[in-house]
Amino acid sequence: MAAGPAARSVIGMTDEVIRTAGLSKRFGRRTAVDNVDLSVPPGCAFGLLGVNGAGKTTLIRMLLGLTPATSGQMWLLGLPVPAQRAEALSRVGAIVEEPGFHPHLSGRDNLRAAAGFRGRAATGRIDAVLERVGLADRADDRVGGYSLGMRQRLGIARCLLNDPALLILDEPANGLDPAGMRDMRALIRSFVAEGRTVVLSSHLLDEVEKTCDVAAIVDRGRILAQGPVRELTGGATLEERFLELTSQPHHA
Amino acid sequence: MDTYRMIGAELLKLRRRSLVAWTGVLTLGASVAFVVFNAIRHRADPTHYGPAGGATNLQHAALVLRYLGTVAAVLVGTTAGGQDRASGMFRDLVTTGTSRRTLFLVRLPAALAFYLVWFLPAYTIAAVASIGLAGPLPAPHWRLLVQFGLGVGVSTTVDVVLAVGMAATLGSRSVATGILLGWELAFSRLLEHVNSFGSLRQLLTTSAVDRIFPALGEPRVVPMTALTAGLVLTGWAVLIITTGTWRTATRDA
Repeated sequence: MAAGPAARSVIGMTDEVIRTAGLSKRFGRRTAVDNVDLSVPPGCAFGLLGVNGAGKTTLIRMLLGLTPATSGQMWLLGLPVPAQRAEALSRVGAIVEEPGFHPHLSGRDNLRAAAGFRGRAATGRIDAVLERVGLADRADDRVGGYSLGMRQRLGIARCLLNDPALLILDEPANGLDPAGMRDMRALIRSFVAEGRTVVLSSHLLDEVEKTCDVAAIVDRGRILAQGPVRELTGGATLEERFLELTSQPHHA
Repeated sequence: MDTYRMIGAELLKLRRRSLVAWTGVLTLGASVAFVVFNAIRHRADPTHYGPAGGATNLQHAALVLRYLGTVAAVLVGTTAGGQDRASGMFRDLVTTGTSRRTLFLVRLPAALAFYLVWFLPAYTIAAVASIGLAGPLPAPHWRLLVQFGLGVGVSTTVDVVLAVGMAATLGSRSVATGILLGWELAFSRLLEHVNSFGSLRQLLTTSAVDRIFPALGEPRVVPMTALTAGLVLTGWAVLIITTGTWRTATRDA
């Protein structure tokens, strides 16, 4: 499926697809995201790397309007959110945590239901996106009988319904076997090749290193480092760099 | 965004085998069973059992539909109001940028449409049978047919609205189902008979629904005007829609 008008970024090539400034989220006395300044350039695969509970998902949830930020500013595709969230999200596809579906419906009907909320053109893309993620032959089976890998792929298909410029995938490799992870990696790289930006969160160092062009290391709600993966590692492995950064104590 | 497409999507999501089956059994099935049972009974022993039609049988059919229809309405409403959250789909819908208010409100016409598809033929069967199977009894006047139809229709569609709002407010389909069925079929009925509550009992939806039903000479437990009954039902519907919208808009997805 060729990247349509929505995939051609609405922002200039020098602008960021995602930008946050001083973004924080507190749950009572616990700070889940702490004063984060994040910058995601367009047309790349961007990895948010951190252990479980580091704050990656909370950061994503704030960007997508699933939970309000406690403080700070955010821009999605150059648009300020929450002020222009609806416009921004019309060009975003996202999976947060495990993709949810109605198990009693087929994969195709789940996409039909999802397309109802994504504009008229989305319905016309259902067959193409099913084909794209390799689920065309199982599209009429009930989702209740899908494996986790198939549900992840159906989740990606749902993300593609609005021909997004930006895909945000929260732990897309979770629960996948090695072949599934390889397929997911290839799919993500193909989106980048089309000019889309993919932001993925992961706790799998190897996966981020193999998939992403740019990464940010997240720990205890903070971004410890961000930049092109090659520069970030500085000749070492990403694992070595990650352990070096996350073993240092944080200062307020 | 096209509202009709969103309502269509909500209707598609209601296409659960169990929901279709139960709604069918509790509305259409109940109506057919009532008519068939009375017709067979009359045919087998006409001296003891009167014809299956007439005004009294219409009243009984309407009561059957009112109580079983309430169960169906609550099942449909709580499914429409709570299934997105239960399945994890609510997160996905929020990330489309569609306003949360709209996400809640489109469930109402979808749930009502799904319910009415079953209710309308169910009542039509009862109404047609009350005329066609009246035998020597006088067939009910068309005004009575409309009054009973409106009575059952309004009472159960209000239940659909209450159920959608309650499930969205509580965030749980099963808890909302339990509370509403317990309230509508038992607790509210008990409160109606507590005389010391006086005119406060007019605030009960069951009392208001009783008022819009044709009484056929029977005294009403809680007397009130038709206007009050309409205001009470509208008030409850507005209140639960407001809380459902508010909760959908404010909860973490």
